[in-house]
Amino acid sequence: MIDIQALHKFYGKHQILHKLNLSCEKGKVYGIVGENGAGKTTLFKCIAGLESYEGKIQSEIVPLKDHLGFLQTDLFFFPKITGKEYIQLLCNARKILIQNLEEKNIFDLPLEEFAINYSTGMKKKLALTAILLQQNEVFILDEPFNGVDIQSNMMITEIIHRLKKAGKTLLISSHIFSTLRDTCDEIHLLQQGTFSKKVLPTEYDLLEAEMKDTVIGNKIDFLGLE
Amino acid sequence: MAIRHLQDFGLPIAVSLLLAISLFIGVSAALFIKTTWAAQLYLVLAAYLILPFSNKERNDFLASFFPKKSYYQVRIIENLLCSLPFLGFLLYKKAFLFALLLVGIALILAFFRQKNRILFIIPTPFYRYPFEFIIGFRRMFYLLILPYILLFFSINGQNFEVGIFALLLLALICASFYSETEKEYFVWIHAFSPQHFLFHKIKIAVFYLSLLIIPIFLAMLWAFPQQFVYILGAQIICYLYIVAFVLAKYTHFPDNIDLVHSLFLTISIFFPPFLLLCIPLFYAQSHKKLSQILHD
Repeated sequence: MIDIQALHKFYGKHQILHKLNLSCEKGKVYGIVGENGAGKTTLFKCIAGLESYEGKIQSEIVPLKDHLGFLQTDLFFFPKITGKEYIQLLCNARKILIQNLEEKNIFDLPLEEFAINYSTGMKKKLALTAILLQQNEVFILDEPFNGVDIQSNMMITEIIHRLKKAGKTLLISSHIFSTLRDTCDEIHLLQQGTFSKKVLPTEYDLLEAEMKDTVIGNKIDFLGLE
Repeated sequence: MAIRHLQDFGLPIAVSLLLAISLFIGVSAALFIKTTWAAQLYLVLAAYLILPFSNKERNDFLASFFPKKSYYQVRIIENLLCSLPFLGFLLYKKAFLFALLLVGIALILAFFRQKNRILFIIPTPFYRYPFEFIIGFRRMFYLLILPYILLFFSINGQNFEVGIFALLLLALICASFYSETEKEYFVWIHAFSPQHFLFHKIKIAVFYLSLLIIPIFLAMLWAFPQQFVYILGAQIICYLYIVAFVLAKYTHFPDNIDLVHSLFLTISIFFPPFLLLCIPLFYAQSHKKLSQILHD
């Protein structure tokens, strides 16, 4: 479905991504984990065609971008545009005619209000709703759980399961390990621009423990909390 | 703000300042020569520029930092500073009453503070195809009334030139909705080729401009039927203006339009035949830029 081969990305002389290889199949969910600055967002932008790169990204669907729903981590909303108008804009871009938007507003967003005034979680839910209504084949969800309430968290997890069942391909990044555990068929650990590990569901507990150990270690002891 | 825009083009501050002052004097002089309502227009324009200072967020910020007395002093000073160029020109033109009115407006507005961010969402007829006209309409609805007022004066006073000015002014206000380039993502989402994308944008711009401009066009035809050719010519120029602005928007994509293209647009406004050169040029450049992100 999507085949990434020897992907390199440089910003000037600074190399962000080092020879990444990844194959993503239809109906599977891929988790990408890594610390801030590991290169997750850059990788997603390369796949989307929003960044130039060296190497190959091939897909059965050509052009991939026209069938890709990209939920960005830093969302931008125009001033003086309502939630409804935002959805309309994204659907127009894919020539999708929306009917019964009220029914499809599963997160109960105030669509008649300006999107820019929404809370962080509501903005995320609006952007997610819009890309779902675009009827994409591939989804990149960069931090979809950030800032959303627990009920919506559950809803997003269920949406991911439904998309998977419908044969869509998903790439997800998240800093909340449990959300990836619940949704992903495999998790790739991105460290300093390189995939250092591919982990299957049976090894998720091990990966979580390993990450905890690496990230936390005994650092908190230095705070002298009592 | 204008100076900051010029600086964004890479001009040194002294040159930017000089250009901004020259532009202000040039436009003001032209306004006072061409219309008899220049002073009134001046008041509206000055109020339009002062009004954003009463924005809720910035006032909350100022009020949290300054004691009440100092807060109002700051507000009065910034409003007076903003109206100073207008005041200077009104005094130069010996329009003392209007100068006094301007000071009054600046002082009154210093005590005005927007209460809420979501006061009222202005409905627009542009829902089907967001976003430029929706945002522009909501931001500038009070400015959009101006051409219709001018039309009234034109027909009432049988002044054909003012009517034509109203037509062109409305087109330029609408064209200004396209002055800022959107984030790359909002172009990337389109499953269109660059050519399709540009024509789609032009189609929407022309259609939505028509919704606003046709009432003026028809009223002009009704009031000045003998000037049919000139009215039609002005209407065509209006469409060419907006096409040029739409295309210019993407000539430097994903960056905003640069100084050279802004100058081209400025020349086109005052010398419309130049549009015939600009439009194909802007189209070729925009197509090239958009090809980096959209596919054929």
